[in-house]
Amino acid sequence: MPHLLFARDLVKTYNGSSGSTTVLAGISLAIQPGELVTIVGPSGSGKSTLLQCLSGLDSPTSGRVEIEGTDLATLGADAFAEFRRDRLGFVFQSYNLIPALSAFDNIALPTRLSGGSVDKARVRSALSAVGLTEVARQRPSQLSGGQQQRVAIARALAASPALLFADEPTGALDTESGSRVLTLLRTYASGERSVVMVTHDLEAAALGDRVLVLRDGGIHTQLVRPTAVDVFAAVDNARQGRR
Amino acid sequence: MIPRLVLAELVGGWRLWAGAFVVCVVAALIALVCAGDVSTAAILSEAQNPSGLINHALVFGAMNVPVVIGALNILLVYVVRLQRTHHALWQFGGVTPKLIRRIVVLQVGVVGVLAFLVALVLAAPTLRFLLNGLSAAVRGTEEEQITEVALSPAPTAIAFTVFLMVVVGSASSAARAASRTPALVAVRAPAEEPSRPSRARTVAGAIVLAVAGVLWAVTLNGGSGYLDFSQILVIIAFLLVAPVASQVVMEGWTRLMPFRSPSWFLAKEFAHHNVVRSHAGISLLVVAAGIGVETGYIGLWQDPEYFSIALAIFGTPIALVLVTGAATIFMTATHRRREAALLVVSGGTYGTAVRAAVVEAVIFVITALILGVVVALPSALGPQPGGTWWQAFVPLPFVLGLGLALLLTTTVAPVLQARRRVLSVELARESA
Repeated sequence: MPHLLFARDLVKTYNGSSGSTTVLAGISLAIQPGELVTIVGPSGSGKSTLLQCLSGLDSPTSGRVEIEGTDLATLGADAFAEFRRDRLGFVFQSYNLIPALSAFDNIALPTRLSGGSVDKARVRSALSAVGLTEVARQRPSQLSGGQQQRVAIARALAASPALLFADEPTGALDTESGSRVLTLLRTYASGERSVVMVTHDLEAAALGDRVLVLRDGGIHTQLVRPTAVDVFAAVDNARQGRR
Repeated sequence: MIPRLVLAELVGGWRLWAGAFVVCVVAALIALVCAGDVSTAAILSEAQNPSGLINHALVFGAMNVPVVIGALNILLVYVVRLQRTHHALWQFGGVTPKLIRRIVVLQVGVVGVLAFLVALVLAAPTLRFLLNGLSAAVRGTEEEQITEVALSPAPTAIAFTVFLMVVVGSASSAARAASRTPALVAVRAPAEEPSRPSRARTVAGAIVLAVAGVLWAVTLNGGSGYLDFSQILVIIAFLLVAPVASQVVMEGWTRLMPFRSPSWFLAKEFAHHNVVRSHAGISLLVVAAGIGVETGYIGLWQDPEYFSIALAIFGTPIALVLVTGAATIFMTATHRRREAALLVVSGGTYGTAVRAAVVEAVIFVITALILGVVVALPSALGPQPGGTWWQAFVPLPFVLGLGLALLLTTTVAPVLQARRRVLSVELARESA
């Protein structure tokens, strides 16, 4: 089966006044269509940096990322923006909705930016899928955190991206909202569509088809369809430096 | 602890304070020009008409002081509004509302003193430009020309005192607002409701407008000298209802436009959103247009000889309001950079973001043009001193063109900056 995402020898180094810090130390991985891959690890292990490099939000210092066979480094800024709009989706812990736009307009934005006409029924259906039809005309500042996150997910899902990146999507949510968000992400990862999710919630991580446990910028352990207990043990081992 | 907090906040929020600093430098320069006029008049011979300089100091000061107070007030209130989260956090650190008030006044005072020092360095070349350059045309013979300018200690000290009083006085309402910031703001940003003028403010606007109408009617019936007052009162009436007038006019005309491109859609939505946050950019542009119209009405643009005098007297208030308007938009650069990053991560290109920023600046200027024409009606429809009805509007394209250039710089520059930065870093940044 062809890889949906393929990363090879990813290294990310930051140069500061006190010398350079290596955050990713040569990570290689592949993601297949239909997979939900979760990434966990202690603070500072490089989870968010890995997600940013995989999704092209940041460039690795060295190494290569291919999505659907396209090497991200070969795309110019505008070509990458179009690729991102058509093939990738993002859900962030801080929601990242555009404050000037209503919930409806935030969801319709990718379609509008591609020059297409907005399919109102499709946007309403995306809002309905996250249970928010009643807030369509409200701006992000008028919504609760959980509602904003669900709008962000509706925006990501409405465009049907091949690959959805989620960075701590439940980090700022209450238990009920968080569980709703996780169900949406779990359901989305099927057929040709995959989800890569960074989380510090180990029970949420156990929903993944595969769990990558990071430590010191490298993959410490890889678990396939683990239980929550397996994930807890693996992260604890990573923290202690045990295999 | 207080000096450290004052300095740390000034350095940390330098982008917010830079705009206030620039406006303070211009305000200090205005005070120093008046002081320079008085100092130079003392060393002139009778042939050089020293009383002309004293008159310039009086007219120049009278024209500029209300504009400086208004501009600083709008600017400082906005600076404080953008720092609400900080003021709320201070309260969690044990800083009392009374102390917050003192800290804000101190911050403004420090910015004012630094601005005055910079203005002192700029004062001599500015005075030479005004007195040798702009007034040369009306000083016919060689012996009437001013070859030397002076800035004596006593007038300078008076200028400093007046300047600092105006700056600190303008900061008082901002400091009061800062001290009333609810601590809850530290935890949760409140929804930005459209700002509506208070009932008292609306009533005051209606009264001022009525007085302007009476003066205008008196002028039409042969009374002289009232039209200028009428024009100024209409500008004041506009400022009193500016928050709602700017929103209504902008939303009204933009909704009528048939454009469907993504850039137009984004620019329109961003402009509607931003005018709720602050109407200062538009209002100050309208005031600049109003002052410009006044110079057109009295015929200063008809004669090159008087044009330089017009520039010497009216140039500074126009420049001041334009710079203040641009400064309020410059302060939101962090917010605009993040907005561009959000647009890109939603599937837009930086090209779309730049086009949207350009269109947004144009929307602001067209809104100011519509309001500017309404504000200029007393001059345009009043009796024309030897000219035609349109002569009042002659300065409008120049003033608004200058405003557009400043707005374009302040809206497009953050998008270009965002393009050079790492997307993930920009997205992680807190919105200002």
